[in-house]
Amino acid sequence: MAYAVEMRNITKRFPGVVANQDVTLQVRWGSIHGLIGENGAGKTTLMKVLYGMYHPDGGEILIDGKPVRLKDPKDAISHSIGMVHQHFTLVGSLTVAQNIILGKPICKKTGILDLDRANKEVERLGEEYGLPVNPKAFVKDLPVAMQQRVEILKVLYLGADILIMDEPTAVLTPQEIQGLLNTLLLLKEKGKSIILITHKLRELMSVTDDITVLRGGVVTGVVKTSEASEKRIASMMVGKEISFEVPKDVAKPGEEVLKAEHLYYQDKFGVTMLNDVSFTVRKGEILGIAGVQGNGQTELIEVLSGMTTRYQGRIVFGDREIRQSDLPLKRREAGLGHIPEDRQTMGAALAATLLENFIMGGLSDLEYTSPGMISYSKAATVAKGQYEHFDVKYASLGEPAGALSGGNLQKAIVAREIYRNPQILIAAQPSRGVDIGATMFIHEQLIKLRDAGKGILLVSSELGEVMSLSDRVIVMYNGAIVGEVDPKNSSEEELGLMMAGMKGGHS
Amino acid sequence: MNFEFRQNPINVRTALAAIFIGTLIGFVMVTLFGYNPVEVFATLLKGAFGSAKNIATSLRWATPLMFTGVAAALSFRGGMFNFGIDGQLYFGSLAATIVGVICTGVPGIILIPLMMLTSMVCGALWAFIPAFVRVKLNGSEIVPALMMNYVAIHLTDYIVHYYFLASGTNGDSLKTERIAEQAQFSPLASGYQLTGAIFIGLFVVLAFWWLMKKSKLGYGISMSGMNPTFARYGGIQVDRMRILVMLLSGALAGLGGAVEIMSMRWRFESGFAPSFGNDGILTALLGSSTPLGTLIGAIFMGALKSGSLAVERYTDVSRSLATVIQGLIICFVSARLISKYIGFDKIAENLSVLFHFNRKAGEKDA
Repeated sequence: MAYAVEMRNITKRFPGVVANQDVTLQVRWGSIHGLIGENGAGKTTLMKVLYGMYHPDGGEILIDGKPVRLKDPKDAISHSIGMVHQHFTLVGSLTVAQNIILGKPICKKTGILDLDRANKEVERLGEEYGLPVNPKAFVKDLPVAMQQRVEILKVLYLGADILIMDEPTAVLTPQEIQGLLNTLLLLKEKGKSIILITHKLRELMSVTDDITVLRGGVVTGVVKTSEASEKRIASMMVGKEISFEVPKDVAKPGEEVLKAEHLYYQDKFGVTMLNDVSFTVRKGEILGIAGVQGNGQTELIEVLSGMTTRYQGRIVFGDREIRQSDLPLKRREAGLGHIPEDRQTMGAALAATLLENFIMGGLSDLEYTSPGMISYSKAATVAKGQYEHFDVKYASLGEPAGALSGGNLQKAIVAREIYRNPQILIAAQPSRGVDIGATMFIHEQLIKLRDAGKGILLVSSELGEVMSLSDRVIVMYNGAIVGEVDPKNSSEEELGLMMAGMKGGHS
Repeated sequence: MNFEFRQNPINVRTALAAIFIGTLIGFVMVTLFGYNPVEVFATLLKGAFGSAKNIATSLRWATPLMFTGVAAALSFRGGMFNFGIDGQLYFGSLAATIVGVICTGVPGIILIPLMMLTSMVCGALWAFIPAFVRVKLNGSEIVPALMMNYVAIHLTDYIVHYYFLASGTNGDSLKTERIAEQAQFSPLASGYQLTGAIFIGLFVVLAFWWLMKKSKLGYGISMSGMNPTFARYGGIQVDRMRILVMLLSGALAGLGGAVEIMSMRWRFESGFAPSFGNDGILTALLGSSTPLGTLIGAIFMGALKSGSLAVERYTDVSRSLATVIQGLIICFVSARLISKYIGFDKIAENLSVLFHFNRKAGEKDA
């Protein structure tokens, strides 16, 4: 039997880089094929080639044994390839059914949308694949996991037999992840082929049949999942044996360095996003905040960092009372560092140079500024040293930050924030979309900072990260703190339940 | 709104390709209207660069654009669209002229700076209104800035008509008395149009360069323009930067008007600054809002102006058609990828490869 997808010796070059070199990928019908690799390994490029978004410079693509040329995604869809994007491509103000039929509308003879039929069709589709949805619900009202379901149905509706899933679990809770994995197995049973891109080894091991590992644009391993081990795959990804455990000593917490008391915050629609949040972070400890995205963590960070001033409650940094009207500058002066969760818009100016990005937040650094003036050449020396120390790979300090890969950019941001020597560091989703090597590095740096006596507030929806790094963990749900756990004495399942709003655990 | 404020710089290839295409279309047009294209373009070129005098004229027209160009570039870099440069210029220059007309007894060394200061303060005031609308009232600065142009242009006319009309005119031409003699610049050499104003213009460009490349303020402005969220996160007060950048921009616009009056007109006249503001915006766009780019853009626009004036004067082609040619060239220069689109990049690349190849071959031979 022919392969569902066979990509033979695909080569794709971009100016200055070879993103894929002689990459061969063979996906069997009715199987789940894991595609794994670090950031910048070429996974996304390869999938964009398969989805017709990029045109390869060499090699050929066979769908069901027949060579094809994919000019654009439309071509790919007509060859029954579908892609579930990492960032959903849904229209929030439309209903589920409207979203699903968007690419191939169901119309009456007059050319007007036949919503009744569309609703029935969507309902039927959902039942067929075990993905029940309410076709009349508005997408913006749905939780993330449900939106993802709509996204998958949309692809199935267009007739996809080959599904590309780009990091589908990144936004889900552990329970939701399990649900998704079950869905994938069901789809496989129905004869679909699935290409699963992921960073998470455990998921990979639990559902895939075959695994292709990419590193630096070339294939470094093709294995049957049943014959592979997590360690072996990880070493194929990074090129060396690695250990997952972050080595750290027992925390020696000192005095309080960050105190939040009774924080309330309403967003501009009047929805309460923070509801009586109180906690403290002490010197030399990492306080983890676990929670599914959208339960108030983002707002908490905005309130603490001064990005919004429309909150109520009391914030103290060290012995300095932070007034509500204090802007980010004042808070930085009071010792705050901030690794933002949205590095593309808040953490960096992608169009600005790396050097300009490095200077941000350091306008009073005497190393390279004098009253009113900046010495860019002196700043370059500092930035070079710090970037080297943090293993940031770049061509020149004059290149735009947007030219860096996700992991590299994150390392650059971490390098900048740690260079400012903060007393309190807010690290929000520090390893989101970052490869294993860079994640390990960032974790090490956070622990080093902790051991140097700084207070760290770690906000992450990645359970493993929160559990392994934090000294204490509090869980946020629906804008409130629902409990505190000791990461050494509790399980991920327990924490997952709390994250889903089911109280439990012990404080 | 999401704008890219650091545009790709225009490279030499783009500029050449644009001038070539603009000229070509202009050629066709001029021919279609029954003129001799070679003559027209020779005149244009000669008018711009033909003699020392013509070069001086080009620079004379480039001078006001250095002020308005930097005014526009500065606002763009700070993420604001100051489309009200004309209004700020008119308002600022009338105020300066009034000072210059009234203070006849003040020595030039005091009067000139005083007039400059007046124009800058009044230009900044005029720019404050759109800035306020944007920052405090959460509106767009573009609409009020544009509308304030009309207000300024007609209000200055009104003020001149009813309060400062030059004696001897009966309202048939709207102009004030001349400013005090000690504030009138004289040409650098007799017979040339160029005055010391160009040095003030160059100083403004230099100051813009210093601001953007050396100062903390320039960094704050630039970052606020490129990514306001990032700037706020890093401790820059974006709202303050936005107001400041508009005030500076308005001040430069006013200064440009005042210098034009001291340098060339010696009095405020209705419509004395034909589209300096819009041309300044174009200058900034051509120059990617960088200091050097704005300077080159100003000189380019000045040369076109001087050239088209010559076309009007020495050929039968009317000013309108000359302006059309000017517009065509600018139009294509702003199309940054044009040299790639028409295959010019490939040709240039092949040529350079050929060149290197030959040189290498030559080296081997030797």
